Amino acid sequence: MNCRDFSKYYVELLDGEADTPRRAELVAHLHSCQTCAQLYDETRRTLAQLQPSQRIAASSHLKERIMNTIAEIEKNGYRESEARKTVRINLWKPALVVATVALILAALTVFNWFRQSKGQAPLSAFTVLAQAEEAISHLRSVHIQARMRTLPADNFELIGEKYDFVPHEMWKEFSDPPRWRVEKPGRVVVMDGKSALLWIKPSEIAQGSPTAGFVGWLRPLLDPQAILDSEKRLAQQQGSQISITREEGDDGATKLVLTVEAKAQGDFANDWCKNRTIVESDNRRVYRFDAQSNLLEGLQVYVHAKEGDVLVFEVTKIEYDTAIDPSLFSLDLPKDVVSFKLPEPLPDNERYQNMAPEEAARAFFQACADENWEEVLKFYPVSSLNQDFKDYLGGLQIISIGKPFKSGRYGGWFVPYEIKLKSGDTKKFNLAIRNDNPAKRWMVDGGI
Amino acid sequence: MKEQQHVSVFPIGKESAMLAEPESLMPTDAWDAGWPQSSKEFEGLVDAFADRLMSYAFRRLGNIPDAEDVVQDVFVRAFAERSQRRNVLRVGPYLYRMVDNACTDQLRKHKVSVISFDDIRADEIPSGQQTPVEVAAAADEMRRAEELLRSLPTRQAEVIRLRVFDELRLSQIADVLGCSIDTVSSRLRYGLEKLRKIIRRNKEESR
Repeated sequence: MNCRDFSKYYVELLDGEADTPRRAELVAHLHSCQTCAQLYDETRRTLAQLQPSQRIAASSHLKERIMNTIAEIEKNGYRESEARKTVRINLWKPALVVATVALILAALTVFNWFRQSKGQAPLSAFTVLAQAEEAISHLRSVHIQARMRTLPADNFELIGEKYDFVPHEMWKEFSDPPRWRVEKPGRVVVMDGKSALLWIKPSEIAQGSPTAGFVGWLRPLLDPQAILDSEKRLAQQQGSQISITREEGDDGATKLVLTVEAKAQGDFANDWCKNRTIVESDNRRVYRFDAQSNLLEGLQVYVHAKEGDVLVFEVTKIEYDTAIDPSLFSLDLPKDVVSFKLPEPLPDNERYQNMAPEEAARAFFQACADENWEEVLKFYPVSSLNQDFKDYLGGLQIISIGKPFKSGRYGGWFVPYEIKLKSGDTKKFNLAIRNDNPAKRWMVDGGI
Repeated sequence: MKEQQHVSVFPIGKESAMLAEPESLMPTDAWDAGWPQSSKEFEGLVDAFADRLMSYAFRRLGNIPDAEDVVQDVFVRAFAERSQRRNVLRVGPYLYRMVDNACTDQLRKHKVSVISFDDIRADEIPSGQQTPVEVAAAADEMRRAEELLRSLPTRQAEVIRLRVFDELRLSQIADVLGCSIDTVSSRLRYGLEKLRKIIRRNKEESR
């Protein structure tokens, strides 16, 4: 598929319709072309901006009235003139009562709100966010320092209540096209305006479109306009609760505090992924805006864990409109890097496509055991395997492969395994594998 | 090797998540189902369609009581005439058409043809469990979205409304409008492209 065809058909992707041949081609093109990925991303944003956070919906009274009338027709049959009369009576009388009750309730709620906020008029959360968005549209740059309970070299989404805080730093320049960098000790992502480059230290890289998901949950912070879109969308789709208060800050200035109470997203029949990412946790996100400038000043994320609330992410410093050293938007990579790539179909692709998750996990470990690196590469999509990898997994022994399971929002499977390494250590863990790639083959995605 | 919980080293993973289907789009099985016959099945029909049909009728009529009136009437008729409709292949497009016709009748009765969203007041939006602040925000948002949509050709705007407010799929929009999916796709595409330009221009002007 070329860019012209993509631009003609890409709206079909917005629908998530069944797997058509065209959809597969569109997805493949989206992954390989940055210009089109940007077009797609912008379109999604435009749609998100139109998406209302509050919807017109049928009230429960309306549904009840419909079902009551239906029950009556079922019992007594339908006589058009009478049914219509019934409809009117049923409709208007309760509607009037409901309207009165609603008005009284409305008055009480406003009154209470008024009292709680010490005479301040009630605020719409969305008005506040819209104002923040407006403030951001005049910005030239943002520089954020934060800390997160995670592992230094693991992906940017991983969190753990027991992990230590790892420093994070983010820069964004609102140029055209925008450029940004996100960094923690073991990982860096740089988006230079054309593409995103992920460097997993010391020697692995992956290249992606400007919208590639390398930084996961941190992404909206880089795009302050997206905080509005994404919190709005989440409130609507996932039922997170939004509230807003006014507080006096340490500097004596008035702050607007936006609190989001969110529920863990995903299926936790197996709770392996529960509380492993912010999205997969029950959490509270507290955004703090300066009431004067409407700029974001802070964010804290607490996970509601069994033992109580744990702070897992915190913005420690935000600076706006400072000059950013242009060299931050490029990476000096070591010579011997290997790169991750999307898998391409093999001549005998079908054989791999038809594997069950545990078969794929076994085949991967067996290939490592046999030091058959060509075979390993069919399950691990890098340009070549580095010596570290070979030393670590070469000649292993499979002790057991367990029953695969799904957890949280992860699109692939987790396969429990136990192996004995050449070093003599045994390792018992869950291998993450997924096949939602153009070649539809199982790829090892983590858990090694 | 460092221990990795589950990494997303290659971008496909998260981009696939980006491609994931929005949760609230109209489910195809409910849309493509035949005409329900029992009151139990009708309850499912009401659950699947009532919100969307309310939103559709509200956009046509501009006030909640009339929209509720129309939606209730359509469901009741759909039940009363269930045996005549037994051969209807797909219930979704048919229900939309019934509501569409009922709205036209209603407007004719009141001799109003175009509803201006500027006239929508916050207290006309159903409150349910919503707070007054949320209701006001909903009215405000609707007005803002409608302002943008008004600058588009009507056919493109209608496709976007059916997609954004009623959350219908392209094929379902095609059913409602009685045109091909390709026509719907191109109206959506051109409409969104224009909107993107307008939004960008607004942003630059405010700079």
